[in-house]
Amino acid sequence: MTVETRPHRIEPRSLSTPAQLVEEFFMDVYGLCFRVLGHPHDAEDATQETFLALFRDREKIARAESPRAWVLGVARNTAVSLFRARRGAKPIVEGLAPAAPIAEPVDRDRLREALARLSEEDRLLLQMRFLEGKGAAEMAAATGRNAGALATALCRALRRLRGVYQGEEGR
Amino acid sequence: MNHPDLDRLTAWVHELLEPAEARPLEDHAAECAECRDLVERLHEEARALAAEIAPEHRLSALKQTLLQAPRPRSRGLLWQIPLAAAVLFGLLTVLLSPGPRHSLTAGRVALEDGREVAAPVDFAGSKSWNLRAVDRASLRLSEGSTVDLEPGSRLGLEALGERGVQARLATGAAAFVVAPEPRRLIVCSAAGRIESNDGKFTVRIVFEDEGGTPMKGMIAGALVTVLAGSASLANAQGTASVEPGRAAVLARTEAPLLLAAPQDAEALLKKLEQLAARVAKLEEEIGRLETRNKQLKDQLKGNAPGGVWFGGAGGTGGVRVIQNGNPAPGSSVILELDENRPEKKDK
Repeated sequence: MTVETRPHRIEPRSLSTPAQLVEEFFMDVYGLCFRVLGHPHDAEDATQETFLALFRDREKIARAESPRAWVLGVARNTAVSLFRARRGAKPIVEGLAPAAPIAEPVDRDRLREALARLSEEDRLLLQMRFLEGKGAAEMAAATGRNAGALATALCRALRRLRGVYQGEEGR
Repeated sequence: MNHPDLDRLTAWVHELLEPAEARPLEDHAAECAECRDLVERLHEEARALAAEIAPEHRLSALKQTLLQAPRPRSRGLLWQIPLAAAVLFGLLTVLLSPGPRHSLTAGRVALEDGREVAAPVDFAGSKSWNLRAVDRASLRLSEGSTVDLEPGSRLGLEALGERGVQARLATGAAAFVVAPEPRRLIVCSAAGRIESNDGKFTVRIVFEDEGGTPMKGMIAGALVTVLAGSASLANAQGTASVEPGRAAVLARTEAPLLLAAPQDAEALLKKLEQLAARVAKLEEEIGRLETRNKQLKDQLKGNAPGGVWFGGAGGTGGVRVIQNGNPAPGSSVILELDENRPEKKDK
């Protein structure tokens, strides 16, 4: 599921330079790439590739009816291509094995692997919480859930992440 | 109230609960050390996830690189070359830039609790760590400096000092490359500290302090060799500045001693190692004598049936203490003169 939360509020003329594109869409593009790829470093690579493509087409984007949709469309295509090229689909973890919080020191490789094994929906919740720093109300509004359902969904996502990180796939 | 489950605490930590739902948890955590500990671990987890998903310094550098990229003038491929170079430069800057966490970049280390972890591993820069290199290990500190540890070396890291990190080498040897900046990095040892803001130096602990006897602690020392940049040594006895290519000795009981030439360091080290071996032998002898002394005291208290035999010269006779039990202070004990050596002596 993909939920776009930011209203269309960019006037076409404000996107005439690469800098304006970066300022306006950097975090949106990175967030989407992270959600698709599940790997922060891959997401950074995809973000760069996306903006290289956007810079070439910036005049078209400036004239587009919905520049944001255009930008995110390019970002998604770039991320999906990179995903196929680098990692391929891995089985998504759906179980809910109980697991303790991820403890310091953090094994970065295992954490990235665990992030990559979550569903895109789980990563969306983690992205909103840890990348965008959204609070409960904002997250609930963005996902169309009530507060209770949202809390349950985030807790489940974290349980799945802990389970994979700690080697418990869950059932 | 029973302990709240992990999901409930997770929701609370992430501020997903209504105030009315959160209040009982706050009350419980205020009285329950176990749950407070779990809450702290959940906060640690949240910080680690934020650092991994949203590495602020990396994203900031990437954004700056894209912002500074030259505007394309044509739709050909040539315009991408300077942009790609800028992106590459930015990436290198990002990869080399300091982060808020320490990273084990190579090798394996053991933690205080006995767990062993292998690179790549991140350590929260806000916490204290005591690491022992299982094999050769390399760390990048949160402020960008690097440390190469020899196997068996023990390194402590604390969130202190001008750079927000202070290292302590307890055992073994390490090579430090200090990321250049005006603030100083402090490396401590039992014998004193080393301060540098741009130096490359090695430290070898000659006598360790931790777990040793008071004697070892008194002569704790370290050999410091500065390879590049500068470093100053200091302890309670004085300070000294060490130039590149020079070595110096840090000893607890002396002011830092500059060696005339680097090769003196090896000779001095050999002498110190010989001295250490002698000290170890003396300590062993002291330990043996203390054990023997304790045994004799126990026997004098009458714990040994039949009393204590104090042998005479040549094994021809002696005195036996034949009173059992602990004599009161000032009281007498009964001694029996015996001209014949018993078959079994006291132990």
